[in-house]
Amino acid sequence: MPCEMITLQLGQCGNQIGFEFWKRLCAEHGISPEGILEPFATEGLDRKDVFFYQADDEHYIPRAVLLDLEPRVIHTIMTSPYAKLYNPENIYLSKHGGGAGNNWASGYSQGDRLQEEIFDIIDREADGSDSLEGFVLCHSIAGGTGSGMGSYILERLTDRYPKKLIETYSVFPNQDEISDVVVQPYNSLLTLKRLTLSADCVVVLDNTALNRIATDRLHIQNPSFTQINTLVSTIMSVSTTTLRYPSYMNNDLIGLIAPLIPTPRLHFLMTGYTPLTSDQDEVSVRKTTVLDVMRRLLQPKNMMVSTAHDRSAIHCYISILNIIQGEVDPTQVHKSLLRIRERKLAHFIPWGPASIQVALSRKSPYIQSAHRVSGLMLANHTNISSLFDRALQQYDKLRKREAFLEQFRKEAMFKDSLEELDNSREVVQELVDEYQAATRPDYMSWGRQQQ
Amino acid sequence: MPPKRSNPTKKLLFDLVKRLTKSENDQAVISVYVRFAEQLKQYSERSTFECSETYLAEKIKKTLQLSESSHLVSRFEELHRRLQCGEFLKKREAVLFFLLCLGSSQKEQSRSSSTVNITNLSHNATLPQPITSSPQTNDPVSSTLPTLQVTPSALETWRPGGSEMSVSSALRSYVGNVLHTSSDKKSSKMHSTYTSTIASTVLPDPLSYGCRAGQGDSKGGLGTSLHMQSSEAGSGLLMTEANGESVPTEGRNALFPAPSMKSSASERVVLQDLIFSFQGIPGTLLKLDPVSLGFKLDPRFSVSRPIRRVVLRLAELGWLHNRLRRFCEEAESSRSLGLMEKSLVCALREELTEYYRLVAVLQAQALQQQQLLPSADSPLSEEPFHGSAGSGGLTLRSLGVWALEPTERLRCLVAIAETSKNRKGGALASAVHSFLQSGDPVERRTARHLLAAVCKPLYLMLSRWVVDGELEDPYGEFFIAADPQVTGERLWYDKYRVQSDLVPSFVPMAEANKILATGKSINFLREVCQDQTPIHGRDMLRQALDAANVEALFTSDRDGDLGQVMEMAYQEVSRRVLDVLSGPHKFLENLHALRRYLLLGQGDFIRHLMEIINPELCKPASHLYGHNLSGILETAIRATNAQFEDPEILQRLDVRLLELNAGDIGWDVFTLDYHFSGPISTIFVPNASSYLMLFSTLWRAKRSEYVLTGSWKRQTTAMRMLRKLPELAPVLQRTHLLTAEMIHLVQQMQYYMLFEVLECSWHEMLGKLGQAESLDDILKAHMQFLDKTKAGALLDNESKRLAARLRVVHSLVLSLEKIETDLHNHALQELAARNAHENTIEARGDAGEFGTDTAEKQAYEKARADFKKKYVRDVLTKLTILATDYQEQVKNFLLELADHPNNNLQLLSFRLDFNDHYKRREPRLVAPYTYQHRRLSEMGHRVSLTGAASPALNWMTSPVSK
Repeated sequence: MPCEMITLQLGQCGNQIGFEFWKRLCAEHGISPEGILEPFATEGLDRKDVFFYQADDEHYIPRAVLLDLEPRVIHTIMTSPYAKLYNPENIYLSKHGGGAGNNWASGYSQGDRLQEEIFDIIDREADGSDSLEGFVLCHSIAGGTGSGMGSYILERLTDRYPKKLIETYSVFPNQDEISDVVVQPYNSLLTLKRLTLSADCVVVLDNTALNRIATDRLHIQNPSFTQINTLVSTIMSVSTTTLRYPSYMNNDLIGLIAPLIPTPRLHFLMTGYTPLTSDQDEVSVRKTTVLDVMRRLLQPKNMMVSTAHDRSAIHCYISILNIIQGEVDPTQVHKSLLRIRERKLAHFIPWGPASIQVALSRKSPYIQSAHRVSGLMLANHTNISSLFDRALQQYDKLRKREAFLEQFRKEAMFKDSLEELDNSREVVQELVDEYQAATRPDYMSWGRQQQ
Repeated sequence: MPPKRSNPTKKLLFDLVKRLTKSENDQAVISVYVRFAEQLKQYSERSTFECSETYLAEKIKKTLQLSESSHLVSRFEELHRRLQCGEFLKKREAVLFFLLCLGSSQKEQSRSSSTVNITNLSHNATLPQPITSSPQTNDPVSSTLPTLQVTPSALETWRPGGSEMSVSSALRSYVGNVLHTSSDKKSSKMHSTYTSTIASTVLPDPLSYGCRAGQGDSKGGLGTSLHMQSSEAGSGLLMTEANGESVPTEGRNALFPAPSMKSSASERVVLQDLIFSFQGIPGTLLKLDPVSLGFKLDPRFSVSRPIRRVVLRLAELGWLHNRLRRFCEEAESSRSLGLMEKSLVCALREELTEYYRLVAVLQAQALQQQQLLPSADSPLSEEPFHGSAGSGGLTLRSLGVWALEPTERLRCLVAIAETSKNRKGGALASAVHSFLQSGDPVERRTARHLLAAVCKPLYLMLSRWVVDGELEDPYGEFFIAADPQVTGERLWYDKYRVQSDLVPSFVPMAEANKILATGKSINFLREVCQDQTPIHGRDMLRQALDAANVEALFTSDRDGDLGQVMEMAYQEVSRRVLDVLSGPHKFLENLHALRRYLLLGQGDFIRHLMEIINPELCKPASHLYGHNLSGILETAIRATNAQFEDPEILQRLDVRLLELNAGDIGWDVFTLDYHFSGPISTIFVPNASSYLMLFSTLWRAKRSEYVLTGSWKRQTTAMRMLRKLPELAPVLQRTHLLTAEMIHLVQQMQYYMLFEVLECSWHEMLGKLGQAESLDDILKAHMQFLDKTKAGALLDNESKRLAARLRVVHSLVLSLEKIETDLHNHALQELAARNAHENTIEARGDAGEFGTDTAEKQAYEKARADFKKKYVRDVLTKLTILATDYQEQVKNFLLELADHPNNNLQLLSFRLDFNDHYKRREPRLVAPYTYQHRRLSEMGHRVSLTGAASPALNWMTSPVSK
């Protein structure tokens, strides 16, 4: 089967959102927690094989590799009903089990040490697919394993599979609460460098925004990880829906992200989803039309990225893709676009053609939704640079004080110099600059200025 | 008048009456009684009513019944019984007869004081015996029946319509008809004279009014007799008037001498001639004009003008008869006489036969009169000419009355025959049917009768067609025709057709089309679907059709039984066709398959096919082998969700190479193909080319997308390595942006074509298919779907220039790919060279040698400089040119879109330039977007002609402003 995707789940956060993702995919494709196709789901209009493969005994097995340096989350998964879903050979737990201690450098170096075992798994998985399209990486950028080992694996993947796409679902730390991980700014910056240089597409999942949405929009006072992760899994599943339910367009990852990313470095995507409901929420009876959905998707409060809303800056959309599901009449889409254009609800780049692209996607018939229409927005917005800007500022604050660097110096990479940190800062700063440049009409000649 | 007569008996009677009635002055009254007396005398002398006492009694009873005094009937019966019992009266018959006469005369007198009636009655009553040999002879009682009875029955049998007609209406219609014919150009002079006279004379005459008024409640024989009376009176009056005399109402005898002939023999001749002429035989007096088929009087005979008029008027009947007969003969002699024409001729012949029967009766009357008159030895036989009239023989005037209805009828028949000449089939039926609209009930009835006859074959053909789908039409008369050469998928379209000129006027075109569809569907099922199962309700339909009357065909009641039966048959068989198509022949499944494969709905399959067939299709077209491509197709099917497709449908899917042109590569000639077979090909084969066209358009767009995303992927993944070549940055940036720009357009175009056009029309079609009642509905919906989709895919005529531009855009995409791959390869080479150089230096350094020498260094530096200066600059130039070219094309494409008559395409332009990127660069694009422009373009550029604030003006000035 062509266009397979291999999912790599790294660290505590990566495995948690991965777990929720697979749970959701199983539900959508009618696959039981044991990997058996439910009797009601035998129609075969969906493509299960993008994310699953079939074992000899008809079991559906996720193309997932679960990696962690400490056993807690993976143990939780292995005691859940979904334990039998995964291929046990694809679950890799570091033997010493001590984790990365929220240290990027530790994760990175452990990745280096364990790379052979890890890539054994990945290579086997890649060999098992006919025409692998790419990898999906789930991780957080703040911790140790997800960010450090994730960064290492990202770099190795680009070397090993130079022609495969790498998409990441990267969880950005919550800015609203004081993190117990003091080196978080370092971790983030170092990971951001790898995301900038080695990933082809990064779907930014900002914990700040996710928590805010959970409290403000879903009215959950203290959102749990599971609740947040449900949101994430929704985004992940909907953003892959056109791959799993083939239709006229956007049937492969590249077809999905190529129109979104005009230049290779500007590949950080924001997401937005509407309508949002939680389990506790009683079914809202609000009418959802295509226009409602598309309009709401453009509202910052529905964005899963908390960007500092800077009115003075002329940030703009580089591209937008709305994946609309449900009972949609394409003419409504057209009308909505017309309306959005008339009202100037979306501000676009001045240097090239851009528009709200729409992918009409089928929905899983096995999941009942109270809403007629739902939509996911994947947007490439220059304002995402404010997130990186913030990361830079936090880094600068710590760096100025030379705080907490001894943890890093313990690792070989930083023993001699902290050049890597400076280099990462440079890369991220360049990214921020490029995003800034993309707001200007002369972005066309961006490369030349760099010289 | 009595005083003139020398007969003593008469005189005696006259005196007696005079004395009895004590009304010496009232000549009319006296003469009435004298007549009575005379008749009584005659009867007693001839003693003809000895055996007819019963008859007379019955007659009286009937009269009583009719005259609204039915309570008197029983009383009369009682009296009569007593009379019979009592011996005191010997000549009961005579008494009864007297009573009868008295009764009737009183009644008549009460209506009008004219004596004519009584005279007439008496003469009718004493009609000679032979007449009774006419159709009523089987009735023993009527052996002595006066013509009073015979006449109506004769008329009645002659009239196939069979229903009684009220005399008054007959008179009215007669006059109307005559008036009508007079306005007709064909009408002879004879007609017009007659008409004018009768119109001016008969109508205002109080007598005829009186008669008519009296008709209302009288029925049967009496009615007809009255009809005769009034008509005769009319003609009598007419003659008098024609002679220029005043019209006294004293009675007929007073008038009669005026038209009397020079010799009494000549009336007989005239009568005989007329009767001959009625049969188309020329006589001594009346000569046949072989050209006009009319009769004219032999000029050698001098006939008085009134008589001449009457004779000529009557001779019209002969003329009509001749024409009708000639029509029949001509039609019969024609070799290609159709069934319907044959039916018409037969019906006309039947009418003629009936007519001959009447003529025979007249002839018999005339003959009898001839025999009777010379041999009659009675005292009255001495009476000259009018005496015979008075005693009830055939006179010119009574002949006129006799001829009245046949004339009317024949005239109608001739009119119908003339109109239907040289027509056949449905046209013939239409011609006859047009007479049904006539206001004249006689004409209507006649036409109805003929139409029923004419339609009988039509009805049979129709039944056969609707029930069995068979055309039994040896003479090409049915309004549905078949082309036997057509078979297979064209059957539905071309084999059968409605011949609009043969559709009878009483069958609406919609109905005809439904009838066509009914039979066509049966044939379709039988021949194309090979469906032998009996259609539900067929027997019922057959029975219903057998039971229904032919006349139901042309009655205006469309919702009647026949209409319902037809509708039911149509629906039944249409449903059957739909069932067969969507059941065993999987129409919908095939339709879905077409969408999935030829219209790219199965995205994963298309994507994979494109990927694995790409290397093959990049070869020259002549190097392609069908089996290779089929193999690739197989692989693509097996690898994707297409594998779950119905194998039957997958079998239909195939690859095809279109016609080769020199220099074509695989992409130019490759197409997916879908094999149609069986009944569904009726729906799809005529549109197969549309599907191929759509496929090639969509496939081309898809290929552009594939090429661009491939290029994008190469650039993106190579970026990681090419960072080491900073001099490439500007050219890479340029490439990225141009790629992005193209991807945008290609994606938007695809989205538009696939979702807004294809998917929308698809859903529309599905809705219509759900409601479809017949194959035609399906075909229509399908056709509309394809038309809309084609228009959206720029495949219609209005979009040719747009499509050409889009093709240019697609070719530019390929140029970009070429430049990009070239750049990519060069960059990788360069990278490899540098890496190799560095590695050498490093290796040498490790070995303790010099890293590099001057020559080597120079060569290396030169190569680097060359790459940087020459190659990169070169590529950058190429890219700039390409970008300019591309943007120009897009700009023009947008301009043309904005000006396109199709509103949807106008709106597409806003999608392609959502953020006004092109508009900012091209001021001309601004105008078309404005509301005003759209409004103006909807108004059909009306304002632009006047030159007011029009986009045209804007367009013209814009180059200057640029």
